[in-house]
Amino acid sequence: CGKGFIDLKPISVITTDNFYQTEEDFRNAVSGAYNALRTGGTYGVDSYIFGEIRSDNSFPVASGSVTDQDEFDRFYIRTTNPFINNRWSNSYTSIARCNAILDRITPVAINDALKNRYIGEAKFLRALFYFNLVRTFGDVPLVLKEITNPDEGYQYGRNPKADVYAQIEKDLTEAAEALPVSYTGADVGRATKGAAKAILGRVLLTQKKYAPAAVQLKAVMDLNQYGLVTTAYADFFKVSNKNNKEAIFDVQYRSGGIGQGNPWPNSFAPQNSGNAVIMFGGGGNNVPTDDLVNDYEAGDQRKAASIATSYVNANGATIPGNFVKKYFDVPTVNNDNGNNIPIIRYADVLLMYAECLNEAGFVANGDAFSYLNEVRRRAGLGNLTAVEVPSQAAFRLVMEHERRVEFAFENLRWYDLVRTDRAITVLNGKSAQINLVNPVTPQNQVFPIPQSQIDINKTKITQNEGSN
Amino acid sequence: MKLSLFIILFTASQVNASKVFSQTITVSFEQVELRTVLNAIEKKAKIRFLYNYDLSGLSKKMDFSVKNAKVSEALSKLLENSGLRFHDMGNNLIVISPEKSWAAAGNAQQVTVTGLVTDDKNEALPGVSINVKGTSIGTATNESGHFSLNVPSANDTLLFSYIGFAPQEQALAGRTTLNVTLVAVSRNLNDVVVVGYGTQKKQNVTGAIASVPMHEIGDMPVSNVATALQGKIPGVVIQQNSGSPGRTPAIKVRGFGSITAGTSPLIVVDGNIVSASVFGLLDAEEIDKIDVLKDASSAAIYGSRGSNGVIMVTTKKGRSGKTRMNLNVYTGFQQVTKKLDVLSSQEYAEFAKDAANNAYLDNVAGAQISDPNTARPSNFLRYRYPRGDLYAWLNFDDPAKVAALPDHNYQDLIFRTAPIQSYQFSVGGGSENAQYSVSAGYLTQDGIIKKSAMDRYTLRANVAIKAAPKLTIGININPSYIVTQEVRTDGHWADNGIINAALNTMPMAPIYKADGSYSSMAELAAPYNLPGITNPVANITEYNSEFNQTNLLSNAYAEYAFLPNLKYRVSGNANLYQNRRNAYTTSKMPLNQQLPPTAATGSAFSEQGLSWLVNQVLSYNVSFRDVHNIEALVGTESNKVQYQSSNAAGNTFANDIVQTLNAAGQPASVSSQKTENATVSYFARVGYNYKGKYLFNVSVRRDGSSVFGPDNRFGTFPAASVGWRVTEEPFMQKLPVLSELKLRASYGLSGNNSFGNYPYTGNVGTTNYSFYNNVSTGLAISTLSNSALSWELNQQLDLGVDIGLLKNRISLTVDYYERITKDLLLSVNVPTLTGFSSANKNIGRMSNKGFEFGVNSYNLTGAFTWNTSANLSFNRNKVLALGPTGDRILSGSGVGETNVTMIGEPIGSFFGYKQLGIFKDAADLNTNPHDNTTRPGDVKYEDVNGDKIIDARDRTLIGNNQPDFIYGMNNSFSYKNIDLSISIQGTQGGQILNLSRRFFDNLEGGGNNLSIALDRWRSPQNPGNGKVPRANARTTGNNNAVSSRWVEDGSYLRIQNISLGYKLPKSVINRLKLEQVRIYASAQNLYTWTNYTNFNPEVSNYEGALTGGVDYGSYPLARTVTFGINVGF
Repeated sequence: CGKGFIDLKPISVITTDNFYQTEEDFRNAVSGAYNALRTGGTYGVDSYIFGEIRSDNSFPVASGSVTDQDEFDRFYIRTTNPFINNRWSNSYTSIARCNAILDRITPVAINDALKNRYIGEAKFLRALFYFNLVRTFGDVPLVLKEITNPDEGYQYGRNPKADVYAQIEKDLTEAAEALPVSYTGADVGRATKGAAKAILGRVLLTQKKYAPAAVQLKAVMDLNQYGLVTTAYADFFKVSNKNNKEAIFDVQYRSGGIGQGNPWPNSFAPQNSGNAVIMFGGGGNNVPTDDLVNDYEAGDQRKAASIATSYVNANGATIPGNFVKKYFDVPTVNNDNGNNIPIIRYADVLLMYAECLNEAGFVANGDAFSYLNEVRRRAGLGNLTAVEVPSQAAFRLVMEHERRVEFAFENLRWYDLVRTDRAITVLNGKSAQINLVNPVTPQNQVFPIPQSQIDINKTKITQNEGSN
Repeated sequence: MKLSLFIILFTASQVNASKVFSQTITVSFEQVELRTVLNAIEKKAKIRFLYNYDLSGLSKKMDFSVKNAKVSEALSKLLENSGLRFHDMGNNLIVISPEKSWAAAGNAQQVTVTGLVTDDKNEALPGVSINVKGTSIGTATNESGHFSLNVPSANDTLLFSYIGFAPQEQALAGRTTLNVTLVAVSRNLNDVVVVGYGTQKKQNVTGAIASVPMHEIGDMPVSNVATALQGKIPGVVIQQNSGSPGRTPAIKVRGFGSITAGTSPLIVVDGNIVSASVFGLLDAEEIDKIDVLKDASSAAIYGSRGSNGVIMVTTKKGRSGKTRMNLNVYTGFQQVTKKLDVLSSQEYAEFAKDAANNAYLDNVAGAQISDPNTARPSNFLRYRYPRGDLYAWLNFDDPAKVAALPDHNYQDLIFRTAPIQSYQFSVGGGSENAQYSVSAGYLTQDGIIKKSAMDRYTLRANVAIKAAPKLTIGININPSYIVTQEVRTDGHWADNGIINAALNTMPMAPIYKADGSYSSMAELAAPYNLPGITNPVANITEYNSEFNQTNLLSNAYAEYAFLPNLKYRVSGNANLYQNRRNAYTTSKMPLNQQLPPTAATGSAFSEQGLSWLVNQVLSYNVSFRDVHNIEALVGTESNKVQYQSSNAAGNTFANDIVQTLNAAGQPASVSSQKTENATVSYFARVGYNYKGKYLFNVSVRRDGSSVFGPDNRFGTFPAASVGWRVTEEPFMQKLPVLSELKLRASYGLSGNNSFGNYPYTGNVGTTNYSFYNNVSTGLAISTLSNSALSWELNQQLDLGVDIGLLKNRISLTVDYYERITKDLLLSVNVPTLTGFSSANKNIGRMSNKGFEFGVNSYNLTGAFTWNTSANLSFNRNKVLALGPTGDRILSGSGVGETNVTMIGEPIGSFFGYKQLGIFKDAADLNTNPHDNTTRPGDVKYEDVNGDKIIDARDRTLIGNNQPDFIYGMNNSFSYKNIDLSISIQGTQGGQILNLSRRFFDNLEGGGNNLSIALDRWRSPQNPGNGKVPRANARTTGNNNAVSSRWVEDGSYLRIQNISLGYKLPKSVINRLKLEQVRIYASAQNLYTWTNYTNFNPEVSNYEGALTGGVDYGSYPLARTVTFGINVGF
């Protein structure tokens, strides 16, 4: 026996020694990067905690001692909160997948068009993850290459927010260049030119760069790829109708008991509801507030499509309580539903564009009104005119309401309130309803940096002001 | 003191004296020592010689040959001119002595002394050597234990010695009859201990090696032998973290030797390297010896695997002679040792109402306790509590209804009195050329949690054959089969964990629906948003999991003696195990928040492990005039471990009739995997002693392991030790009270590579995605590679002293050790912005230092005997260096972060807030730092960093699981045919994080709580005991964060075993034509004194260095009472 006897390689595991070498490897690596959209902390399972629970739209599951979500809801967030840690850590894990592709793909012999597309997809995804990071934490470390030696990780401190946004814009711009307008067959659902531009529009709007945002959003419209699902608002969310013409970019799921399913329909059904609401019961998460329920105008079809206020249990008793019904499927396994989670859809492009137009200058019954009304009409509501909305300021408030009900439970509410500088006013105005522990302050518009990441590199990673 | 050493050799058959001398023999030798010729004659003529080992004439080299000579003639010829003569003592015994001593004796006035020698059980001892002190005159007892000896003077002193017994001196003082009782000495210095690749005389041992007193554990009714070792060996911690039948306890030698690599010792059974689970396959009856190699010098011969110590198990081998058969049968029952005190239905109703009202008052302005449920907001439903709105009987406001509430004692419903039975049969014997030992066993044990059970079938055959004069071959083979009915006891009730469900479910929660199917708390939960805790009874009955384990341990060897002292041995071992588990959860099982029918789930798991090992050892020993004694060995070893497993799960079953996966609609998941590792090693050891006085030992092993990257596979592990038997020095002879004093010192290096199979590779994991319902294979790097990864090194210094007093009636062993583990194989936390949360590195240092004391004493040696053995061990563990930055490592167990490993502290300390008390009132709250949600009645935490706020930075060390010391003591008594043995055992100073209290001590009112909830804060006027916070359905003040509130003292003292035996008298035995019959009763785990509130103070649900001592609901220990009979025939 000698060296050969002990020279053993893993049998059931692929290693970095033999990966990233062929076209197929990169196709798999890119799919692996898309998969990161689903992980906790990015755009999947727990994204509602940031977008919805933090806002006035919903509150968390009733739990006595586990305060992790309650801390978001009632503004006493702790630096050890696991969702905060997930957002930071899993976003960077996701970014690392993109960086590895971008660092390694250049020398590999792959058909140029495909190589370009893979690069575009990686940059698009990287931008999405950084967008979450910068909206959540403000200044964050900008890691743009694959880290193979963990000691390098100690070199990175927090980069200014502006640098991060600049990189996001650069990645999205380059992605938009590289990505195709559409796909066919098994590629539908990948990032497109339209998706890159639409997200870029949202990124620019978030920075109040209204004119450049308008350019991108208009360009999406001009691709002539998209339109509203006009049959009914609820139809957009149907499992049988996924990737429809209104869908610009979704987190894709598939049911069937193969680990590709969406947990939300089960997660959002009421606790202890048995099979009365959905097979395999509910987790009671993301409970709509009465404030949101009451915010829908009479006749708004979106209310019934999005929220239920009670259910009848197996014994025939009516159990009161709000719950999200926007995402619904009939799972064969718990937490395994076929619904996609929209990241951006065409209605958002229309409303963001309307917002940009209004910010450029109020025009009574101008284009901004027509885009807004296009969305309202689909919900079964009448047009708004300059009679009801007489000013730029009034239009802003109408937009705020319209976006809230149109995109309820699509994780936009909190970010909308922050980017329009309305979070403090709106939430403190409802402090009794939402039981704030502390009043909302400007510092609450970003979240604390995870304690574990400060502890591990105290010299470079600093805490956000006002966070304990 | 001069130790006269006699060698007494017995032969198999009896031949009378006249026959002895009339036998004829033929022998022929060239240039051999006289003693070699004597040995040859002894064997051929079936006689035994008795002579002083030190006689100089014995080493005389000579040519000798006789042909068909009578024995007497041959002896005369042999001893001619040797200065020796022989004397026939009768009874086939021939004494050889110097001519002059007989001459001297002949001149004196001779006195004949007669007598009887017996053991402490009053049984005659044949073959005891008796020697007149200061002379070579001697004899031995005959078959009936009697002796007769002519001594020079009636004032002489006789020395009685016998292997396995303490030597005894008796001054005649004029007596001519003398009856003597010898005391058995289990730790006699002439005993051998098993060391790596060989054995060593106990007196020559220079390392820290402890032997398990097997006679103390023989009666213990345990389904895992390792359990019986608890408290028996200084420095060895055995922790029964689960009472599940057959479960192997955690075993640690001299503290935690590693952080993230393995911490359990190497287990070697008859030279075969096996996993600790082997203790579940062995019956104590099958084991001859267990020796524990604790220090680096004795463990370093195992190189890369010796760093956590080595446990050497030797099974019983056959002996030539009469066939011996033995049957040991016991039967008994087991019961849970304690039950927890939880709230009754009436107490719970009051408590739950208080919790709901407090949450309502806290959060809703203007709220009144009198507000009906309908007036309380629905957007947080735990403001409401049962008031007859769902079921009329469930009304916490109506005292009559409360009084009438059903009160299920769920603990009574899950525990039972469970039988245990064991049958162990063995037969052994053989001839001069072949010896065998065969044993078969059957053990059946029901667990104290209903349905759990184990049946074990074992067989062992050990055969040794002398195939040629110089060649011995042997085979040891040990197949076994175990069937276990598993129950899911541990963990969260949401995962159907039985224990936490039983303790946490509302005491009035229904067990069954009206139609007889299972219900659960979920039936009552919905309108009030209580947790839908699973049904503990259904958790038992509706989960079927049978685990089948088939094991085959096998070993074959051949030993060729080129010369009597130069041997080559080749040994091959193969261990094969195949395990299968079929598990099924029926559709009748209430799940978390779900009432049946639910979706049935099934799984099928199988695994196979094959480990084979081949070693070759060449050993040589030589003695130069008994002054320079050398033992040496060199060897090689190759080992390969191959493991494969497959697992499939299905979840769409049409009904519960067929519970295997063929009935599942489609498999939900299917996976299989294969791994392997290999080690190749070279080793050598040299032992030298000068007159058995100065002892030296050096060993080295070089190991190559596939576990590490190509450039770092080989490691070298040297060790050395020295010993000085001070009592061998002339100047010590004047201290007769001190019969043995040995000083020992050792230092060595051993390694640790138990860190997975390929820890150095960067792995790419599967991360699939589906584009428009089309599944697309996704791959992503999941671990960072580190080609530099290599051995974890363990340096250990051991200083020891062995003391024997009063002819070794009292023996004491003390060891001090310092064990430094460096280049720790550590899964280091790294900044997650790298894309990874941890990376495997060799980094950090840790120390374990400690004292160990072991004492054995034969207190009374008369008709009534009393022996005591006791041990006490101290270990102090400290982390010296960590990671690249020295940052602490926080580790999670059941929830969040619960443990911390930081420099200067013991590994895996508990981490959390420190409770100071309870905020008495608003004034107390206003004058002390608090969480921003805190109200009066909430927990007051210490502001550790002094910044006047309570936040995550105030978390600190709040305890540690590692005890200050551990101890054990056994007292054995015997009088005539009755024997009694009492073992106690305990630990002192360790703490437990009772994390299960987040379920049943959370004061939320959502589930049942421990009855300490009655001592809660209710108002400033009624503040309770100052430790338990107020009831609140929506916890405030971070009350249920991990804190010292849930850290408890884990010290305990346990009566580990009491056994009482009775040996049937000889007269009865003889009539039954049996060798011996003993009946006995044994009580295991009889009583435990502890302040710990949960079931078992030894518990650790997350066994591992970083998260030790966390209790999250575990299978409790049983108290076992058995009655047995042991028959030899």
